[in-house]
Amino acid sequence: MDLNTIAFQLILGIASAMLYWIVSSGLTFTFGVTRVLNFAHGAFYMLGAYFTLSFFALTQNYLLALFLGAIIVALIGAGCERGLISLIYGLPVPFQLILTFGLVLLFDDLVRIFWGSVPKMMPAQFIGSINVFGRLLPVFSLYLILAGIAIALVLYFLLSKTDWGVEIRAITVDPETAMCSGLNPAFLYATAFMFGSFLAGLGGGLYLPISSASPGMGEHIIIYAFIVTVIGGLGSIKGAFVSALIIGIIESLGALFVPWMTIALPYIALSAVLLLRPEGIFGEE
Amino acid sequence: MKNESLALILLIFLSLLIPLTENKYLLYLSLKIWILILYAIAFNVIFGYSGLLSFGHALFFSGSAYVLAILAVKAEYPLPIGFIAGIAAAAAFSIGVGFLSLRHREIHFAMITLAFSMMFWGIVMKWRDVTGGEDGIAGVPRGMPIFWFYYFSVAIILLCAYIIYRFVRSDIGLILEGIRENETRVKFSGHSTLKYRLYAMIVSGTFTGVAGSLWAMLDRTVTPSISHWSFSAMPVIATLIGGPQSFLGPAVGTVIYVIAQDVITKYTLYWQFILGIVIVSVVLFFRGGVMGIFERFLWKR
Repeated sequence: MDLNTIAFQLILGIASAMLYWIVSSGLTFTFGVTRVLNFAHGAFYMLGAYFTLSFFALTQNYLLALFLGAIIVALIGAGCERGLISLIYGLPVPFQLILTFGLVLLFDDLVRIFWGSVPKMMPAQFIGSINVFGRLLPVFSLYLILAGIAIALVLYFLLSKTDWGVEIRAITVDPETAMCSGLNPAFLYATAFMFGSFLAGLGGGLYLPISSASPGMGEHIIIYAFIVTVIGGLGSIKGAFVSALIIGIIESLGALFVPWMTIALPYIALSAVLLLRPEGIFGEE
Repeated sequence: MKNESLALILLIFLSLLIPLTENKYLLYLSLKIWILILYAIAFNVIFGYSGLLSFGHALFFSGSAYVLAILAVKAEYPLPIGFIAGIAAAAAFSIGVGFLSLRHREIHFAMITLAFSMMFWGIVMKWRDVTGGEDGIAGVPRGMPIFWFYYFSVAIILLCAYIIYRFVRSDIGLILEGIRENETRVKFSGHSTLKYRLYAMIVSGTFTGVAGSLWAMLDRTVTPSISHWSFSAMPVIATLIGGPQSFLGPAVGTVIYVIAQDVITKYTLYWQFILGIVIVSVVLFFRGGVMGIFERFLWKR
């Protein structure tokens, strides 16, 4: 096993980590603000992929389709929050989980009704690869890494430099004081949900050049997003970024050294964190 | 209360007559409902009584079913050994997952149970030599004709349901409900909440394992579909429909769920869509489930 192979595998790991990061950031952000864990986040990811697919068929422009797809998903997310989830903010946790789980079933079948059950591919995009460490790296892996970093920067800017970000942070830290200072929780919760759904939709669209869209595709990613957010600390955006990187790298290097146990590796990492630091790497007690 | 018990005894009696009709389909459906009732009642120990939502009970169900199938078919051990080992495996899994997940908040519990059950699903799919991968394991023995197996299973299920009933009505059950309502208070009164929740988890997981073993013998095959998370969702939905706050709620919900599934899937492919609408409306409007509606409008206690 030479160093080049390891370095190459590392880059691939970072690329898949960026997909985990984009999806998990939306999940953990929404949770941090609204305290609702959205099971349907994976379904939004799936919807993002399908809408991107359809917009691509209309416009033949991937970037435009990606953006439009994510916007539609954001609107659907906001609709779900206003119409359904906002009605149950005060209820015990299990009811929130079950409600959003019901949405998963609904959206899975809606996708089957509108797009069919057969997995759908987008016409090949970003064909070509570049030579890295003597191996051919698909050029899209690099774009994915850039997209992940860009989203991290945008999130940082939004939360620390804009009024909306400050208000969001205020209502996250202390909802009562924030409301007493005249902030509108309904608006903030709805926009937070909208933004989280936007990120899920974006993740789904970004997955398209790698593989096909299929009903139930959200199920794999939501479990990874759960693992990432628990390891990073529920509600912590920084934690999601770090733990997505950890999981992506563990997986890609694991495939190199211990291929027979690759599927168990993320769960072993999860167990280790739960035993040593149950609140997650960046979580608060 | 008297009417309820009478209705219950009558229903159990009627279901005992089913094998006599010699209708294989009806017998199979009825026993399937019985087994899933045990599954849902065992699940509700952790959900309704302890206030924790598990999305990974398929791990205990299929864990026990797979251990039984592997021992009885692949290793050719006698069936009773497989049966007991399967249930023991479910108990061991519940201790492991409980230990990892119960220390923290309820949300973690749902996420972690789901994650570990999906790890088991992944292993089952990949480890073809032992689990048969996607094909599963066929030819699980029953040890007796289906006619007697029906009565054997119902007897075991009734016994298990009775033990669970005694458990949730015991002091431990009371403390569990106390933790559900106000964890801090129970802690102040000197009880280790982790310990009691672990008890609940073990009871819930072990009896789920009994249901899983019976299922493997009834079906005579074990496939990865019973370790998939959609199978974990089954008791969640059934309990929600029936009502988590009463002991028999999950049983009522299971009967409704299985029969509705049997009928609806004959007419439409989109059973999940209907299920989704049912779940959303139950959470929004009928959180007590069917039993809750009964209590509110019919019996007016």
